[in-house]
Formats: sequence, structure tokens, C-alpha cells
Amino acid sequence: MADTADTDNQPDWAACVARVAEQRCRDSFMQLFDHYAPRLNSYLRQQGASAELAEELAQEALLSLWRKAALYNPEKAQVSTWLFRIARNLMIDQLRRERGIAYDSAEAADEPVMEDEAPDATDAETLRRKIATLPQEQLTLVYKNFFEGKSHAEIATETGQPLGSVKSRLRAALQRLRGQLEAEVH
Amino acid sequence: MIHHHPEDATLISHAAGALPAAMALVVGCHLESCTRCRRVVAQAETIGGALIDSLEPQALKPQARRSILERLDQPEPTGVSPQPADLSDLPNPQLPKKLRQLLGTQALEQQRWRSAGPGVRLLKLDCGEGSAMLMDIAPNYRVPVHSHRGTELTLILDGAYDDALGHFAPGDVADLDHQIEHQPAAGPQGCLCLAGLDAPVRYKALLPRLLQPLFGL
Repeated sequence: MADTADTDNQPDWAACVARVAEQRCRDSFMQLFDHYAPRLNSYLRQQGASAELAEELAQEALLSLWRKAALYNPEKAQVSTWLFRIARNLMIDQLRRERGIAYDSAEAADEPVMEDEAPDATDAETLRRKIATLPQEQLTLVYKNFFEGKSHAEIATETGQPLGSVKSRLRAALQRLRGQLEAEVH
Repeated sequence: MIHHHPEDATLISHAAGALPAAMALVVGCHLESCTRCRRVVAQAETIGGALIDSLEPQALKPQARRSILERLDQPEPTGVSPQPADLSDLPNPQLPKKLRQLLGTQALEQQRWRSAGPGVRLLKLDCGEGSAMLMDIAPNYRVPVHSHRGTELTLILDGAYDDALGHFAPGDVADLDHQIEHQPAAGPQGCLCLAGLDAPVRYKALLPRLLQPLFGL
């Protein structure tokens, strides 16, 4: 691609995880730690974790990566997606415990992703660029949903939009980001 | 073959961890049997990952680097998280795994059902956030016309029902918000479904509405 975003200068995270898995490479691990721990910390703070808990869980997520690195499959998910799932489940386990009944395990690193359900993991750069081009109103909703953990109803109340608009805008955001979904429902 | 799925917005919220527990339970049970929706959730998780990557970093305490390096050498703690009940010991093998874990060791018939009118009985599930219940509708019974104050997700477990939105059979999900008014009619086998609500249901006719507090709907 012609336009080069900052993210293009990032190390190859999948290769870092591979070195952690195969050689127990601490330098690679610390590269991952230095990049992701402060971001996961940020994510967990916005979900409502105290400063102390957010740091603890961010470290916990990276420790999970250290221990489960061999289970990571770069063809199935981006490193960022993998860490997102781990951190989200830690968040649910610690902050939204009652939601745990709906997720398979607190250890997202163990969860298998089946062949037929894995999205194409090769286009994360494109995805990041597309996120940056989302209309502000969609971006705000995605952000509130993902980072503030707010339900559709809460977002509707907070932003003064009808519930239906919140849902259709979230749907529009997903479609714009991921292209055509294979099944049109309803 | 599943014909009715949760809305994409609902699946995105599930991926984000933002659905109230009662609704997340319904989605989780649906995902057990729906490849299409597992794929949408995986796509939404990719968005979650990309958002993490573009978040403004918030530095950890300076000693965090040293402390994590020390922890790498420590053995993994074992037995910290409670193990879910062994499924093979649980009854109700026909139900989704997550529901079986929630129902525990009692068979469906031995659970504390209560009547909610002539053709419906309910089993309230303890989910801590929102309200979740199993709803057992008698063969050919028509549920009174109602809409919902919030969102209701209903997963068909057994039997079927029909309403203006179509035919709902096992695995199908009705994802209804307050704009939708419906009157489900159970099929000849009746209909067993799992419903998750984030707010109480609103009935249209006066009588059922007065009855609402009694049913806890």
C-alpha cells in the first residue's frame, strides 16, 4: 500500500510470539510486553478497573502469552486479537463476574478457534486503517461498546440516540470494517 | 439449519464483553451450535484487537518490567480458577453446555418451574445481571401480544413457535427490541426456549399488563 501508517513500523508480533514459543526468548517477550502491557492497562482502566487491578491484569495477560505461546496460531488470529480475548476474559472474570456464564473459559488463550470461523488474520493493517476512517458517530459507539463495556441500552441513554440507531450504526461499522458478511439475516 | 440469528450489533457486543449476563448467556448458547455467528464474533474480536493496538498506552509502574521478568521463572499456579462441573455428570444432555452448567445437577422436570398463565411455565435462572429464564409454552398456545421495554433474546431449544417474524425452530434466535410487538404461537410440540432480557416486558392488553408483576416478566 502506498500510504504508510505508523503501525507499519511495528515489529512482526507473530514472529515475536513464535520466538517466545520456540526459544523462550525473553527479548521478544519484553518487546511484546513493552508494546502491549501499557495498552492492555489502558483498556482495563477504561473498563473500570482500579489502577492497581488494571496493572495486575495487564501483567497477567502477558504472562498468559508467555505460558501459552505454543498454542498461538498466526493463521487464526492476530497477536492483538489473541491478547484482546485474553484481556477481555480477565476483565469479565474480575469485573463482570456474572457474565462468566457465557464465556467458555477465563483463559481465552486455551480456547480453540475452529478452521471455518477464523477470520482472515492477514489484513490487520488494513483493518486499523479502516477503523481510522470510520465516521465519528460509529467510532464513538464502537469505542463505548468495546472499551467502556456499555450495553446498547446504556449507550442509547448516554448519547441520546434511539436504541435502533445505536444497533444499526454498530452493524454498519462492522460491515464497513469486515466487508460483506456471508449471511444476511432477518 | 439455523435461520434466525442475533443481530450483528448483539454479536459485536458479545465480543466486546458488553452484553448483560442474561443476554450473553443466550448468545453463548446459540454460538455453541452456530458457525456463522462464531465467525461474526471472531471478526468483531479482530476489531477489538485492532482497537487495542491503536489505544493510547498508559505506562505501568517502573518496577513492572523487573517484576514480570521474575514471574516468568515461577511455575504456573495451578488450581486457582474453579473448574466447571464435569458435564458428563450433569443431566439434560439435550441442552446447550452453558445452560447445563447453570442448571446443575437437577433434571429439567425437577427444577422449580412456576406457572405463568394457562399455557406457559417459567423457570427463572440465576444469572446476576438482567433476567434469564426458560420458558415452556404448551402445544399450540398463543402468548399474549407484547413488546419489550428493553431487548429480549430468545433461543429456541425444543419444539417451535411462529410469529409475524417467521418460524422459529431449535437453534434459532429472536433478537427483539422495544419496537417489535409480537405474539408467538407454539407449534404442535409446544416450545421450550431460553430468554434473556435486559429490562421487563411490556404487554399491550390491559389485563396481562396488570398481571406482569405476578409473573415477574
